[in-house]
Amino acid sequence: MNRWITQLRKGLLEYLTLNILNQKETYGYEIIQILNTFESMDVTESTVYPILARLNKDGFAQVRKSPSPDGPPRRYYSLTPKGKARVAQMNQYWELLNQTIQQIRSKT
Amino acid sequence: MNELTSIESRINQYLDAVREQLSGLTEGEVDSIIDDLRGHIDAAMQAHGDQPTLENIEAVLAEMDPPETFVPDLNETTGVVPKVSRTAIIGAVLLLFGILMAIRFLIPGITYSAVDGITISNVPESIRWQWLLLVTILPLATTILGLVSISQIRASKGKLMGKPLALVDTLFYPLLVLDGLLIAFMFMIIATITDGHLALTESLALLSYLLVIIVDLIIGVIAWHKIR
Repeated sequence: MNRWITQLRKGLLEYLTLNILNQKETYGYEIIQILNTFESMDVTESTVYPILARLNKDGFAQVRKSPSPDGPPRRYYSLTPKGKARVAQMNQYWELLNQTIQQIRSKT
Repeated sequence: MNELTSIESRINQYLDAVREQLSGLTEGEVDSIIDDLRGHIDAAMQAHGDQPTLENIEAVLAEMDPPETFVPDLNETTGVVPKVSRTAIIGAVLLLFGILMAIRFLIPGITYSAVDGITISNVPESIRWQWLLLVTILPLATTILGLVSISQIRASKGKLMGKPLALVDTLFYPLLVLDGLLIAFMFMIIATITDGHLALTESLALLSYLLVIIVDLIIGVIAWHKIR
């Protein structure tokens, strides 16, 4: 795969993960499943779980452990108020970025 | 060992291998990733509708990222750019210095500037002992610096790098001694069994050198895997 696509995806992954968590509380495996339903996103554990760990460390996401009948407790992630503020900021900036891209593309 | 224990053991083996790769992250982040991966394995098993057998676990693990892909991009995660261990660099400098001194000391016929002109001779007796002292101290210092730098790099959680250099510092002289002993031992055996047969002696000597190289490589690879 082209390096620029990998880099672009990498940059977007945190943003998309925050948006998924903004919609509902969920666990890592499900986040990967959701992202992989989109052809343009092909993500794996080694990219998503470090992001979740970092979001948790930085106070943007919190973890709730729920008992699982088939194994160790499942870890559900949700956004903290700080995380919700961050995703709102990011969405706002994304809109601006998108407009800029559209404007530049329409002029060229 | 029953199958359930084998399954747990196989899962833990994978998780431990991943944990080893996450040295640049905080303990909390590492635990978080490991716990998520454990949950991922269980969720993947459920999604497949598989019974937890060793075969099914192997299939799930085969679909997952290999442990080495979890190496964190430190520049991105912590803003820390890893530096090459200074201890390892000093060790490498001492190593080179030791080699140069050994060459100067051991090889006959090196020119030495005496007061009365240039003499083609060994190193004079007056400074030979000083050199001998240095040649023995330098390998010891290099090996110790190598060991220290390996432990510093491992404890630095990704802030320091240079494990290959540190390994060279650590192993170079001990392997040199081992090589010397092995060759001496092999030559003793060769002298006994060839009974002065030149062609056979040469072939066996070559074989000895090859054997020594192979032993060095094996030790090097094992040591590398131990410190990775």
